Amino acid sequence: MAKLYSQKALATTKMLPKKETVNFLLNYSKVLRIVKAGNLNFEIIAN
Amino acid sequence: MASTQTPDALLVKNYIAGDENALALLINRHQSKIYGFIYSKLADRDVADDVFQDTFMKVIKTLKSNSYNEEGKFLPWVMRIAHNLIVDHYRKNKKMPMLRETEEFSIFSILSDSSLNAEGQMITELIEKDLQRIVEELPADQKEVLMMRLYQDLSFNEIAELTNVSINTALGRMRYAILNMRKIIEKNQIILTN
Repeated sequence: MAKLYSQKALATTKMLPKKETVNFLLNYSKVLRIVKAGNLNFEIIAN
Repeated sequence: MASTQTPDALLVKNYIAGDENALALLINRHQSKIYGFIYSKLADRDVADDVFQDTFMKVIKTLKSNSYNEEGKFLPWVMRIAHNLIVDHYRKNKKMPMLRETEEFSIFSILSDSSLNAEGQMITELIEKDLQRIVEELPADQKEVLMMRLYQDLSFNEIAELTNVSINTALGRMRYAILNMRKIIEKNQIILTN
């Protein structure tokens, strides 16, 4: 069989987080509300 | 695409103002660098995903609570959060190391099930039956003290009161009960070990 001499770059694939992780973050951001009361921060997650 | 040219600072501003799309753009723009950085330190995709998620949860909370200051740039700020979380991860793992099953290492070498297997349970049942029979052989007064002490967990003071004898008599009966049980065991060559 003919040999292939073309060099393959070692790190061609981009490292990306899982799609679910990104989707979770976007959804988390949508439902999160932070209410400030004096020194306290209340995190409200709308369900 | 116009949105890729939008500076980070403007996207952050828009996000704080309520534009959820701005966050998606920010994540899309920087996910590769941030995830790559995290993965380079952890070398585990699952853990890297967890840290990536925690990093952005912190980013979201900070931005939503208006405590983000525009002093630095967005990416270095997120990288610093990620870096701190990686350090936290290693600190936590030092206290509670994560172990994975490999060819050379079996998780069961350090994990064991302390409950008895079927054979052990059967032997225990037999021993208990033998023991009950031995107790039945004892004279009534000794049997009474032994049952009260070992099964009802009463003190010798309470036993003495309940059986209307002195504490010394109760102690003596217990002693004789044990001696007699030993005799029965020896005589009948009963083995009471599992």
